[in-house]
This record gives sequence, structure tokens and C-alpha cells, in this order.
Amino acid sequence: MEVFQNILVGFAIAITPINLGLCLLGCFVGTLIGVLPGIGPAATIALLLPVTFALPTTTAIIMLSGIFYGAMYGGSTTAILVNIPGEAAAAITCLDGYQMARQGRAGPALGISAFGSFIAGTVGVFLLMLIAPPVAELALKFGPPEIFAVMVLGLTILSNLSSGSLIKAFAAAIVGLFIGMVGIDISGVFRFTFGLPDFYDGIGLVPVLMGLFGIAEVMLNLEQVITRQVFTTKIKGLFPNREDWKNSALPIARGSLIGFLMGVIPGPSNTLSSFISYAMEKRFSKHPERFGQGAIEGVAGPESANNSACAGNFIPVLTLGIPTSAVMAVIVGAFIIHGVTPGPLLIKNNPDIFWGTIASMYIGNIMLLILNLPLIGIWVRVLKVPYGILFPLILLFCFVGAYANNNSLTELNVMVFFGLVGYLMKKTGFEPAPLVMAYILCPFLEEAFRQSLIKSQGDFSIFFQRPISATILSLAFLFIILNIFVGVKQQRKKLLAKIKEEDRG
Amino acid sequence: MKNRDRISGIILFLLGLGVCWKSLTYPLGSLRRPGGGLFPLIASIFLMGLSAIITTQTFLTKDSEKAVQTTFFLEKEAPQRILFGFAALLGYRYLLPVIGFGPATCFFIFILSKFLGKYGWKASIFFSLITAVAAYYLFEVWLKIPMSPTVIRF
Amino acid sequence: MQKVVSILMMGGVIFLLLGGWAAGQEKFPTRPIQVIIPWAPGGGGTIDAQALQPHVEKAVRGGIQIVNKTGGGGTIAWNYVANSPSDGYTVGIINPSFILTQYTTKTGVSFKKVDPFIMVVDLPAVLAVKADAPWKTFKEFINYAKANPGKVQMGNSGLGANYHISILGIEMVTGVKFTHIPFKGSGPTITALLGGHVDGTVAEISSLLPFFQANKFRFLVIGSEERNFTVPDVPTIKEEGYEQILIGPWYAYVVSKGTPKDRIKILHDAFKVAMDSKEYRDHYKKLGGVVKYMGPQDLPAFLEQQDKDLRKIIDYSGFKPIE
Repeated sequence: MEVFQNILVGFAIAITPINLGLCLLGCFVGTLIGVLPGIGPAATIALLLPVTFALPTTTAIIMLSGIFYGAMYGGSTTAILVNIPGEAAAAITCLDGYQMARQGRAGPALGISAFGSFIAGTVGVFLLMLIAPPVAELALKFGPPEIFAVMVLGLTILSNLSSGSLIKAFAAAIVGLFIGMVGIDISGVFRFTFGLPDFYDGIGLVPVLMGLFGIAEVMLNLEQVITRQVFTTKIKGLFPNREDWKNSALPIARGSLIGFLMGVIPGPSNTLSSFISYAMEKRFSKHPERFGQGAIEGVAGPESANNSACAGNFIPVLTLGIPTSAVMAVIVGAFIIHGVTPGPLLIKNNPDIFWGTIASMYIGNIMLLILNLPLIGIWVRVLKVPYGILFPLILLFCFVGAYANNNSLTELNVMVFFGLVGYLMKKTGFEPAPLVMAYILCPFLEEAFRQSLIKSQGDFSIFFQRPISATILSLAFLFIILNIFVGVKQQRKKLLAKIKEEDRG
Repeated sequence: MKNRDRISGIILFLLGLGVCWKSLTYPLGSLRRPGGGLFPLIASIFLMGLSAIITTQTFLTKDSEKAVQTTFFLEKEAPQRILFGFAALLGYRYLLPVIGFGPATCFFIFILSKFLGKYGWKASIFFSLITAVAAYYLFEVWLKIPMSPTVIRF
Repeated sequence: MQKVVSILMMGGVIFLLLGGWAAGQEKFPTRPIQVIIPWAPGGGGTIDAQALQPHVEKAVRGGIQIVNKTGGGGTIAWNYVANSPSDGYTVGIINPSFILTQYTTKTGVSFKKVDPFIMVVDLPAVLAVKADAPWKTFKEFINYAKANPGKVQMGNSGLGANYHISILGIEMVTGVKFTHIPFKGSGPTITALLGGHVDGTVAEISSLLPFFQANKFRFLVIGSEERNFTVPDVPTIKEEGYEQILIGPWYAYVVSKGTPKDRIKILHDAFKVAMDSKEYRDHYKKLGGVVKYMGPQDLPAFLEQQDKDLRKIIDYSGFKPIE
């Protein structure tokens, strides 16, 4: 097939020493910034772009892309170790990954995360190679009503994220929406800024994440005198065992597909795909109550999803020249500054760049796996440090991360505030994950909502007249009904069990 | 848990009410041209509904069902520790622009490890000095992240 | 003996200080110059600065730091530049939005608060529709829009941004009425047009060109004075019989008001060398940008004229800043 001929050419380009070397550098830098909060791949790529001026275009793109998926690998490391996601897309990994770490299973968690990411990343690139153009065409059909439907679907699956009350999950989600509404909106109105210029562009993601996940978790642990070990000292193995693999096989497969397909849709697709994967695994699992307590499927699925989403993200860029996120926009900028205009003709005019980049994505995934596996031993050892020494360092880490993000002291206040909020939430039975998810979705949700209404001149039926959005909205609706149904069934079961007990007693 | 739910329900309701009120001050526009206030209004109404449910649920469920009375704080000294922790965080944040990254970090680590970590004087001082120096070199010198918002650059 | 040594040492110190002071006086810059970009990295402004950067660095024999300060539609960065010390170390980049934000937001900064010192490029705006759209010429498009007010949906890169104002300008001179659908930037707008979710859009030629060349878009009219070398078959709006209201971004560089004239000259000369370089011109040749020079003598009057033109459209549309 022609495709395989082309990819071989691509590999020939990608395996030159300079391309290999810079791919490795990119992956390494990417992993580093993925671990460090507050510095994202978009900012790093933008920062390192001038350094690439002297390099040929393909080499530059290879290195910069390496930073991108390196960050996806790195972000899950801190999520598992200390409950702080290095990237928003790793937030869901905190739920079960951190619990696994507390049970002494940080090694398997990190391991399955690395392997899952590798498998999914490779599958993603493979699919990219084969079906990029038709998938891109499909993605184009997603206009404002369809995007609104996807965001609504994202919100409804929030119900599946928390182990607690459904109502509380939705309430937390709405609070998340409120936080997302702060700042200037698409019509130029400044909302809920209370005159603070730091809020004109909204409340930053990094301080909210650091506060809700990092600081709140430390505070919860501080309630007990720190003679106790927060993390079990007995490390139960460094790598996933056979049972882990058995449990993770299907989640990885499903996550890879979901991530890839969602990666083409504009918006926070990496994060959204990881959340959907988590909800899906919970729904398909025979023991959904294990989720939130350290179920490895809760790490395998989402981590796979957010890595194959990276491959999906590249599709609109490579086939149409359109970026669907801030990181992709910087990569498109990198193309332009090197004199290559990305667009529908890229594959025809610059086939070497097109196939060279794809080939390097395979190589990058391999490199990242090799980079991350030995590090697992080191990371696990970090957890053995007594918590009394660890927790001040974690708090310091949060501070540096939040401040480095925007050099704003106000954001530090925001972080501490959300630390308090997160602490109180956990104490009163509310989960932070739905809040964060809704906060991330809010701008896209609202923008799509308003654009659709302008388009339809105020007619709500637009959402149901178009086939794609109608399908997705019905799915979301079904989801809610299903959850209420399941909830009612559980209540009945509980009630029946009680009646039986009272009968006996 | 019931009391907690009642309080959180009421707080959420007030939050929803506040947002609802504020969103009415923004242009609502029409359905044809939705303005800035429309979306917050809809969301806040939903929140008020949900929080009302949370609060009323606490009145409907009987006491006997919730046999386990989980205490808010697991240990006796917990409230002081938590307050101290947050105070330390705020103190760090406000000290940062005054005395710079290095000294503020030193202070911060010191009071955390001495009063919350229950380490001795010598150990705490040692730990805080090492961390402050290491952090300074790692973040300001090596990674070149400007951490000192002070006039006097440290 | 000791007295002699100490006098010599004092003399040495004074000599060094004088030398340093003198060097500081003559040599500008002694530390990297920051170029503050009001938009996200990867966008046109950043790319322009990046294209100029290596040449400017060579010309001033110093470093250029590109800093992205996004937010507030650009006002955060522009306010930062306007309020920065007038020592020439903080350079800002402006485009027509700079003038617009005076009227569209309450935090806009007046162009009188900055000293513009050079304009480097003009990227004409183009009105684009899908290649399979029923309108083959601008006239057909306008006639259809006149006959169906509100039915034609135009995507823009943001309410109050310069393309939205351009489309309002079309409404003003032709008397049609569109429905305006806002997006966050030109990127999503182009995606929407590709997917057929809007009927047309106005955007800079550099972003639209790849799709024209791939036969996905059709250009109906271009907003420059003369036809563009990349799309010679596209008529200008003047040829169509209307006044010049399509505002494509030009990029100019400014410093805060009151910067000493000799420093402005150094910056101006360095940027001029950069924009005359082959790489810069080749870069824009591919994108359809017109490398156009304007110096500090002519820029204030030019900005004043743009201000008048833009204000006309805003008054016509009744657009008001909301806060």
C-alpha cells in the first residue's frame, strides 16, 4: 500500500542521528515540564521555538512534538505520586492513581500509565497514518451545536466520576461552571471580576488545580499527627503484575480508540477523553465500587485516552492546517516561521515533513517508554521519604507552580482559597473532580451554546435538528436516565435489605 | 453528616442566589443574541434547585438511618493544625514580596516542620536552610523562573 | 606609601565607574529588549516578531526577548507597554485592534500614549466564502445579502475585533444586514467556514491562503489598495465601487511615550534592516503579506486616519463597550 511506502520514507527521515537526538531531547524536556506544574507544553514550545531556527523544519517539528507528548507522560507522574496533576488531562489519574500510591502500589500505577500511554500513543499514530483524512472531514462537521452536545455529554458523565451522591456531583459541577464564567466573555462583558484586573481573563487553571488537589490533600493528611506514614511503607512490587495486566487490557484498548476519536474535536479534548474513558471503564466494570479506591482500570483507561488524543490532535493540523488547541496553534506557528504553510496541501507539497513527523511520533513513544520506566524506581523511592519532610516540599512545589504560571501573587491567593475549598469539599462529601471538569468545559460549553443560538436566531430546536448533535444529546440524556435508574435501584436494594434485617431481628 | 449537608446546602443556595443576582446585572440579551448574563442565570437557578434538594433531604431522612456519626475532625488537635497550616500558607504568600523567595521559603519550611512536623529546632533549621538554598538554585538560577516579586532582588 | 596606593585605587575605581557610565550612555541596549506580544504564541504577531528577531538582534548587537502577555483582547499588553519606563527596553506591537480597543473596551489605551516608530507589514483582509458557494462575485454576494437580510451568516474572530468591525463596515457601505457569529480568533472561524457552519468570513490573507490554494475557499474581494500578488484575480474593494473598509492587520512597533529620540532611532534602524532582509520578505511572499514601511514621522498621522475610519463604522453600528 502506498501508505506503507510513505511511512518507510518517513522512518528513513526520522532515524537520522540529528532527528533522533532532538526527538529524545524533546521527549525529555516534555516529561520534565509535564511533571512540573505551572509550565505547560504550549509555553515551553513557544519558548524553545527560537532555538529551532537554525534547524531544518522536520527536525524542529519533531523536537517540538516530542515536548508535547512528553508532557502527557510526565503529567501523570505527579498525579499518581502526590495527587497533583501536572497537566489538566492527568487530573482524572489522581482519583485512582494516588489511591494506588497510598496502598504501596505506586510502581504498578506508574508502570501501567507508561505502558498504556505507549500502546495508545502507538495505536493513535497508526490510525493517524491510515484514516486521517476521513476523520478530519468528519471532525469538520462538528459545528457549534455539535460541540455544545459533546460538552453536555462531558457534563453528564460527571455523575459517573464521583463515588458519592449524584446531586452533590452536579452541584460541584455547577460551582465549577461559575468559576469558569469569571472573566471576559465573548461579547466583551467582564463578569464576576470584582474589579480585579488579574481576573479579567478568568481564574487560572493552575492555581485551581494546585489548590483543589495538592493543598487540600496535604491539609487532609495533616489532620493526623505526622508520625504515621501516609504512604504504606511496604512497596508491593515495582511493575504491574499479571492481574493488573488482565484488568487493564480492555481499558487500554477502549481508551486508545476514544482518545483518538475525541482528539480531533476542538476544545479540551485530551482532558475530556480521559474523563470519558474513566466513566466508561466504571460503567463497564463488574465492580464499579472499586473505582476511587485504587482500581488500576481507572489509571489505564484515562492515561491511554489522553495519549492517543495527542495523535488525534495532530490530524486537523497535518491534514487541514487548523489547530484545535493552544499547543497545536504554537506548532502551526512553528511550521509557518520555518517557511512551511500548513494546510490541505501539506501532504502534497511537503511529504517529507508530513511523513517524517508521523514516523517520529512512533519513535517518540518508544523513547518515552524507555525514559519513564527506569524512573519508576526513583519515584517510588521518593514516596518512602517521611511525610513530615515530604509535605512542606509538596506545598512549596504547589507555590512555585502556581506563581511560575503567571507571576501573579493574586493567583497564589486563589490557590490557597481553593485549597480551603477543596478541603471543605472533601469533608462534606463533595468531589473536586466534577468541579474541575466543569470549569474546564465551561468556556467551550457556553461559547457553543451562544453561537448556536445566534445561528438559529433563538431557536432551541437547532440542537435536535442536526443529526450529530441530536445523537450525542440523546446519549447524554440516556446517561442521566440510566444513572437515576441505577441510583433508584440501589436505594431499593438497600431498603429491601434493611426490611429483611428488621424482619429477622 | 446531616448537619454538614444542611450547612453545605444552605451555603450553596446562597452562592447560587448571589450569582443569580449578579447575572441579572449583566446584559441578558435575547435568545437570538444571548448576552453575558444568560448562561450564569440558568446555571445559578439549577444550583439553587440542587442545593434546595440537598438541604431538604436532610430533613426527610430519619435519624435512625444515619447511625454512624462521623466526627468532623478525626483527632482532637486537628482544627488547630489545619488553621495553622492555612495560616502558614497565607503567611508565606504575604512574606514573599516583602523579603524575597529565599528567606520566605526558609521561614515557611521552618515553621511547617517545627510546628506541624514536630521536628526539633536544629532539624527544622537545617531542613529549612537546605530547602531554601536548593529551591533558590533550582528555580531561580537553573530554570530561570523569576520567583522574587520584590524590589530588592535576592 | 599607603596613601599613594589608596589614591591610585580610588582613581582606578573612579576611572572604572566613569568608563562604565560612559559606556552605559553610549551603548544601547545593554540588556535584552523585550518585545511584548498581546496575543497567544503561534499567532500572526508572534510570528512577525520571530521573523524579525534574528536580524534585529544582529543590528542592535543585543538580545531580543519575545514575551507573550495575553488577555483583555490585547489591552493587558498594551497598557503594560504604555506604562513601562521610557527607556526603550520595552517594545510593543500593535495592529488595528489597538485603536479599536479604545472604543470597544473600557481598558483600551490611546495611541497618543505610545511612540510608534515603524510599521513593517500589511496583511490585507479578504472576504472568503466556500469554493462551492453559489456566489461567484462580490456583487452576487451583496445582492443575495440585500435580498435576504440576516440570512447570511458571517463568522468573525471576536465581537469588537477588527474583522467584526470590517464586516460591519461592509454593512455600512452596502446597506446589507448579516448575522454575526463570534469565534475565539481566526482559527476557529476558518474551521467553521470549512465545515459550512458559517457562510463567509473576513480574515487575514495569510491564514486563508492555504485553503484558497487547495480550492476550498473562494475569495470575493480583498481589502488592500492594490491587487495582491498571490491572488491577482481577486478584485479590491475599491474596484467594486466601495470605500476602503476592510481592515486587514498591519503590524507596527511602538515604545512608551517619551522614549529618548536617539534610542528610538536605534530601534527604528534595526527593525528597518530586519524588514529589508531577504528572509523576512520571502517569509511574507509565501503568505501574501505586503512588506510596507512607514516611519515615525508618518505613523502618527496614519494612526489618526485609521482612528477616524474605524470610528465611523463603530458609530454606524452603535457598538458600545459593555461593562
